[in-house]
Amino acid sequence: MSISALIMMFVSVFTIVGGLIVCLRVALKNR
Amino acid sequence: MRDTWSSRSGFLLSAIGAAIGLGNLWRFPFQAYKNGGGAFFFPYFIALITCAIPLMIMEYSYGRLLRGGSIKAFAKLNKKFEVIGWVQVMVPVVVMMFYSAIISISFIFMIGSLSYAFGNTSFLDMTNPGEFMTMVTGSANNAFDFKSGISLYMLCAVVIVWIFNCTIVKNGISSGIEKVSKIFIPLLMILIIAFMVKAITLDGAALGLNALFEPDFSKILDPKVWISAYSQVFFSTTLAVGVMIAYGSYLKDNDDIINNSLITVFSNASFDIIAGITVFSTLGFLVQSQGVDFESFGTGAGVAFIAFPIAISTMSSSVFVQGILGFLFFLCMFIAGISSSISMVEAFSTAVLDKFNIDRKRLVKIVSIVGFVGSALFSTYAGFNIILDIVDSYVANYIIATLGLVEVIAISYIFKTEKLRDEANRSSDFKIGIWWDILLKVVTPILLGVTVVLNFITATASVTKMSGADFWANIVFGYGVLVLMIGVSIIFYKKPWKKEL
Repeated sequence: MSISALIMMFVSVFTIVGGLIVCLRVALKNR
Repeated sequence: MRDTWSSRSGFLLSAIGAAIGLGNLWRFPFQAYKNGGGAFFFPYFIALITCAIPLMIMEYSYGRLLRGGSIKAFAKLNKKFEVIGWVQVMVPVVVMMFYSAIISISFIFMIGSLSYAFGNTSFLDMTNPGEFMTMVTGSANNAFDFKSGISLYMLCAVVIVWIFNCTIVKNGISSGIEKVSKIFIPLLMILIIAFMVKAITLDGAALGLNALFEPDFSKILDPKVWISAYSQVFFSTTLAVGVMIAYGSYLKDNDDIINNSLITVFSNASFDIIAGITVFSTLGFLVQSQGVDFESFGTGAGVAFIAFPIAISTMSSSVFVQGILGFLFFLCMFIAGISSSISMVEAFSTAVLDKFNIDRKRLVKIVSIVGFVGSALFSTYAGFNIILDIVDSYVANYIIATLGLVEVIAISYIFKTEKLRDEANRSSDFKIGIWWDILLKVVTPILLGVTVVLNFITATASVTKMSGADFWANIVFGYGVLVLMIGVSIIFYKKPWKKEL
C-alpha cells in the first residue's frame, strides 16, 4: 500500500469517525 | 396525543437506520474509486459540512416546530405548496416498491447461505453464486418483456419484507420503529465492523485499499467529481424525501437537534467509510487470488451478491462456517434495507395521518398492500433487470434533488432561517450561528442547483440518444412514473383537510 493511500485512509477515517466520536462524547456528557 | 421518541438513543438509532441503506454498501465505494480515490474525500467532507449537516438540522427543527410531516411542512408555508409535500412523500412510496425487491434478494441469499451451511449446494453454491443470482432474478430482453416471467423466489421474499415493514410501522414510533432500531442498528454496526476487520486481514486487502485510497488530486478540479460527492452525500443521507422531517416531528421539545444531526450525518458517513474499506479489501483479495479486475463484478449489486459469496467461500475450509458468514453478511444487508424501508413507510404515513382521520394500523396495512403490488412489478424479470434502474434513475435525477432545492429555498426564505435557528439552538449541545443561515440561503441552493441542472442535462442527453424499446421504456417507466407521482399528489392535495393544519 502506498504512503499517500495510507495517509488518505487515516485522514478520512480520523476526520469522519473522529467527528462522530466527539459528538457522541458531548451527547453522553450532557445526558 | 402525538407519539414521541421515548429516548435519545432510540431516535438516533432510528434516524441512523433510515440514513444507512444498501447504497452505502455498494454505491459509495465505487463513487470514491472512480472519482479520485483518496482525493474524493475532500469534496465528500465539504459536501457533508455544507449540505448534509445544514439540511439535517433544518429538517429536524422544522419537523419538530410544526409537529408534522412533509405535507404539513409545505402547507404551512403556503396552502398551494402542499402539493410539493405530497410529491415529496410519493418518493418514498415509489422507492420502497423497488427497494423492497432488492431487500428480498438479501433475504433469499440469507436463506441460501443457511442452506449452504448445512451442505445443500443445489440452492446457493457460494463458490458460484452467479448461477443462483441468475436463477433468482432471471433475464429479460427489454422493459416490456413481461412474458419472460416473474421470480417466484422474489415474490415470496417480497411478501416477507412487506410483513416486516407493516408489522414494525403499524406499532408507531416508540413501540415500533424505535424498539426494532434499538436491536437492528447495534447488530448491524457490530456485524459490519467484524466484516471489516476480517476483510482487512485477507491477502490482497492492501491492493484493494490502495485502489480505494490512492489520491488522484488532479480530479479535485473536475466539477463532475464535486457533483458526484454532493449527490452521494445528499441521496445517502435520506434528505428531501420527507423521512427526516417526519422523524423530527416526533422529537420532544427539549430533545437536542444540532448534535443529533451531526451524529446522524457522521454515523452515515462512517458507515460509508467502513463499507468502502470492507468492499475494497474483499475485492483486493479477489483481484489477487482470482486475477479478476476491481470492476469485474460491476459497481452495484453484483459486488454484494456475487463477489462477497465467492470471497466468503474461501475464508474458511468449513462449509458450515462459510454458510454462517454468508448468512451474517446478507443479514447485514437485510437490516440496512429494512431500517430504511420502514422509514420510508413512516414518512408517507406521518404525512397522511397529519391530514386525514384514519387509524394508523389501517393506513399502514393499505400502504403495505399497495407497496407489495408495486414490488410485485419489480419481481418480474423485466421489472428487476430493466425497469428498476430506469425508475431509480428518474426519481433520483429529476425528483429528489429538485425537491431538495425547492425545500431549502422555500423553508429558508419563506419560513425564515432565524426562527429555525432559535428552535435548533434552544435545546442543543452545540449552537449554530448566522453562518448556518448563509449556508442554507446561498451555498446549499447554489450547489444543489448546479447538481440538479447537470443531472437533468446528463439524464436527458442519454434519453435522446436512445431508440426503440429503450427509448419507450424511458418514456413509460421514467417520465410516466414522474407524471403518475405528480398526478396522485394533486388528487391527495385536492382532498380537504380533516384535521387542523
